[in-house]
Amino acid sequence: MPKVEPSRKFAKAVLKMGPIARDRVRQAVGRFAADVHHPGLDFEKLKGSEFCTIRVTRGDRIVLRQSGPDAFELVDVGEHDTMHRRYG
Amino acid sequence: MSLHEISAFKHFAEALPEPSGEERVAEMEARTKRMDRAVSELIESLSPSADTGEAQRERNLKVVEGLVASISSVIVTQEEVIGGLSPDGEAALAEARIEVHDDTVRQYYRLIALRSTLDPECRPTGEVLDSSEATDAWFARISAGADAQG
Repeated sequence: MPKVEPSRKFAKAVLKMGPIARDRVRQAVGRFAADVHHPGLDFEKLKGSEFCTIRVTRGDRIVLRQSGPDAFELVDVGEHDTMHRRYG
Repeated sequence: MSLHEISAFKHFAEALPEPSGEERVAEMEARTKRMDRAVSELIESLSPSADTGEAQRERNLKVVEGLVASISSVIVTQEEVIGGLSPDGEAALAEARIEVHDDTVRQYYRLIALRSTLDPECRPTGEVLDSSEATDAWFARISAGADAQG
């Protein structure tokens, strides 16, 4: 099981979400912690960047960064295009 | 090392000699070792100044961010070069080169840790979500905070 650590930025982004969206993020993080390559997460490395994304819903993505051999930092969460523009 | 020199690592891939094979891999290895030394020196020089003034912290953060992006692209290049070796005849060569790659990945992790000390936004919250219980508890706490904020 990977070590998954939320950053302050991620915590702030989650704090701003509504309860339904927040619960979907919780489910995605739980799935990721159980299986990094869970097929529903669509784990994807952003080309030319150190960041990766996982799917929360059709429109939302969590941005992560590998911070150790088996450790990930949750960097941010938000709308797909915004996350790709900001971190891709 | 200046930002200009750091950005030179971005051209790691383009400057490697063609075609792939022993010569290309040897060049990659030599460059990686040079880069590895430069990065170590940089990390040593920045680490003690992590608690200095805001302007210096911003400058250090910019340097580290540039380096993280560059090393990330170097890692991709190394993977392509190592992956380009034929699986049979050059297997031993590939194995030796993977050690070089591992060293770069270790430097990358060191930089990520350093970046976290320099950027308060990226600083981990110190909580580890390593089980569904821990994840649920963290989200419950965040939700309680959000509800309190109204």
